Amino acid sequence: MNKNEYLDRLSRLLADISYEEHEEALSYYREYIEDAGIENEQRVIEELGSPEHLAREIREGLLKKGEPSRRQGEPINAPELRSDNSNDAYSDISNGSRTNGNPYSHYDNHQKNKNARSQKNNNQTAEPRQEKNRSTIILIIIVLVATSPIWISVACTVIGTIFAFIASIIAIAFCIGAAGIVCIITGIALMIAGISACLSITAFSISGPLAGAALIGAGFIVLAVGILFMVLTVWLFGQGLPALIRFSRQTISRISQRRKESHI
Amino acid sequence: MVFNTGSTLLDAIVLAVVSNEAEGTYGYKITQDVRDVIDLSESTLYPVLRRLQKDECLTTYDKECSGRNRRYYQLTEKGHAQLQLYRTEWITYASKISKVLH
Repeated sequence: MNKNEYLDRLSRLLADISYEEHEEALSYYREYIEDAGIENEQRVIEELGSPEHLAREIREGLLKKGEPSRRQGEPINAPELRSDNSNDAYSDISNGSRTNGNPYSHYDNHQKNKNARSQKNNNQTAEPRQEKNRSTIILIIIVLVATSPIWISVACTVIGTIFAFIASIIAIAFCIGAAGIVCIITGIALMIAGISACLSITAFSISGPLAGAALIGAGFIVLAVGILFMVLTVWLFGQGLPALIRFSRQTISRISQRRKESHI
Repeated sequence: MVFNTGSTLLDAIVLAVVSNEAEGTYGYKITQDVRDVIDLSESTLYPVLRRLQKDECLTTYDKECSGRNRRYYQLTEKGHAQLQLYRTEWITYASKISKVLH
């Protein structure tokens, strides 16, 4: 089994856990296998065990989190942790290996013990909770389907508005760019006209150089305005638009994230 | 190793290994570092890391590394406090055991 087959299979086995946990676990193991390097890929995949085994461990990790975590949360606040905690924490070590002959199966054995224990704990509490969870999920789905004419149109409106907004910003940026180019061309033309006016000095008139200087000055001003426009255009395309797109993407994902959380 | 590592001790080892890297460290390296110390299968660590993260002992950030993303783990303030607690607990525990086993 290669990396992609392995991860695909894992992904399918974890299809029913929450989206967030699913992504976390998969990206963790994808990185993990990649970090091992191509030459170690096969070995790592073998050592990780079958995707079924891995999926089971990920699931059990999720279950354990449901319990109030005595070891993690309280010790920091609770001064009397030692009497309570040391029993719990180290009993694992003391009751483990005494009966156990094979030195290499320790961790597994210990894991099994723990699983058996946590299953015992969970049987009473976790199952009804899960049942309730499932019924709320079904309820939410029904409500979502029933109200779909409303929220689909709202979603379309929101997305449409965002797209229109982005499109108009792009259009404005293009217009400013075009104005900038026109200004630059005009400025250069004015300067050329000014220089030619300066050169056409006649014996009876000094208005030529004066008009020429004025024209050159005006040309500089228009050129400067054009350059300003160009800078603005570059900024809009380079910074403004990406920021806008990032912002709208974050908004959308925040909304969908909230929706996902309310599902769980 | 004939001794079992309980989940609390495993938490302590993971926190210590992560705290050794000031700018954080990533899943594969944590696993290798922990495996230098104790026997454990490669698949054991993900649930531990995830739980420590949920308990706000670890925080993560993503960094691009040779064209792909890599998630780095770091200790939070709470993680440091927890590690400190484990350290003092361990000293008491280890000295007691040593007294009996010496």
